[in-house]
Amino acid sequence: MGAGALTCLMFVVIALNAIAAAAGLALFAVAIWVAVDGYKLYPISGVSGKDDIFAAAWIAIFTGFAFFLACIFGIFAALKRSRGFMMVYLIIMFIIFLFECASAITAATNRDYLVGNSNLVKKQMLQYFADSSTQGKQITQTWNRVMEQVECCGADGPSDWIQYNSTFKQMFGSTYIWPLSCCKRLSTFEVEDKEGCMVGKASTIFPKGCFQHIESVLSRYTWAVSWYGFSVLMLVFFTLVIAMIYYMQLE
Amino acid sequence: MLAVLFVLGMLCPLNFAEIEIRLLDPKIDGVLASKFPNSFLLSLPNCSLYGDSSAELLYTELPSNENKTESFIVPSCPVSLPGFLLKNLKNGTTYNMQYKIAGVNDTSANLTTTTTNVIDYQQIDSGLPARSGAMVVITVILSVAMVALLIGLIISFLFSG
Repeated sequence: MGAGALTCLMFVVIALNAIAAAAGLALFAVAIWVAVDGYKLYPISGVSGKDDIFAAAWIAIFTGFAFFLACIFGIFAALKRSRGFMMVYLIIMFIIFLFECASAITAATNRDYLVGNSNLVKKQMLQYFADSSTQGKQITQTWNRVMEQVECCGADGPSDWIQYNSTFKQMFGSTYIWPLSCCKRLSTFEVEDKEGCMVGKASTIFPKGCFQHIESVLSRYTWAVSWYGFSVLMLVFFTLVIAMIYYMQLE
Repeated sequence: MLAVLFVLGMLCPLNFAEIEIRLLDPKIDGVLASKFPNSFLLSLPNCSLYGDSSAELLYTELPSNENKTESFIVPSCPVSLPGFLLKNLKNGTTYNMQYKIAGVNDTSANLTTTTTNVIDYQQIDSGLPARSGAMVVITVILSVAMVALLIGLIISFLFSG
């Protein structure tokens, strides 16, 4: 390959590495956003033992920053036109590529277990809401907050509390059919009409279910890790192919 | 004959009219449901006729014929609650219910309904429902990419120089 063509290839490798470094840093930032869990829905996945969306986010924090550093090293290795450095660069990038693949696949697969349909979330709510164990307290707090803020009741609707047996029914079933978090509140946080809500007056209770909100939040986290991770990986794949061609042309 | 019937009809005092008793209808009465596993939501006696009187709800559990009574005061107009919640019933059991106003001896017809059954939450199948298309696409394409990169690395290390 002529010297001019080799220089041109070197510039292409450097440019692609610069873009991949920026993309890796953005992946690092997005994965931190997922791990911080601003919507505070972690107990729903943690209690069921299926918290791999968050595990994948932690892996993506590592691989995002590692891509950033390795691509900067790649720019340096390409400028030096050194075979040894390019080989080290290619091996390091391949190892990080494998980890990031694991993260993207794990997040996408785990999302299907959690929110493919409302059964798991509903069963967990019926089992742990109002339970006095540690998991019960976490689930109770999470559901109370979701029902009050999103203005919903139960997983698919208030009828979940009627159709199924639950820990809540065993503990409070003689007084309450559904939790008071399902009731509409005034801006002072007082329940608007407690007696009406306990009886089921339709204008005092939230009729829709919370599953749609939970599903949309967990899907948002998953798409951040798996689809954005996937697009960074496709860019890195393309970069590595060009870098391998460049490596083969160096002497 | 007709005249006799008219006269008899006029002699019938109005307060022998029956109290209405029915389960509330979610579509008409603005409630979520009226049949629960452990309670019924029943219509209240008319507030303009019986407001502030004390009333009794007599209910009988059907297989065992156990008689029970709930006493309450009929709320006066305007009524805030949509109905009367009869609590502490057993699920999947049939009950006979009847209103009776104290003092006036007005009664309602008998209402016979069954409480609903509950499904145990352990029976909900929380296994994997289905794999989404996104997961299949990501897994397949990334697996192919990993293998392609590995082959590419081996080729570039073996056939260099």
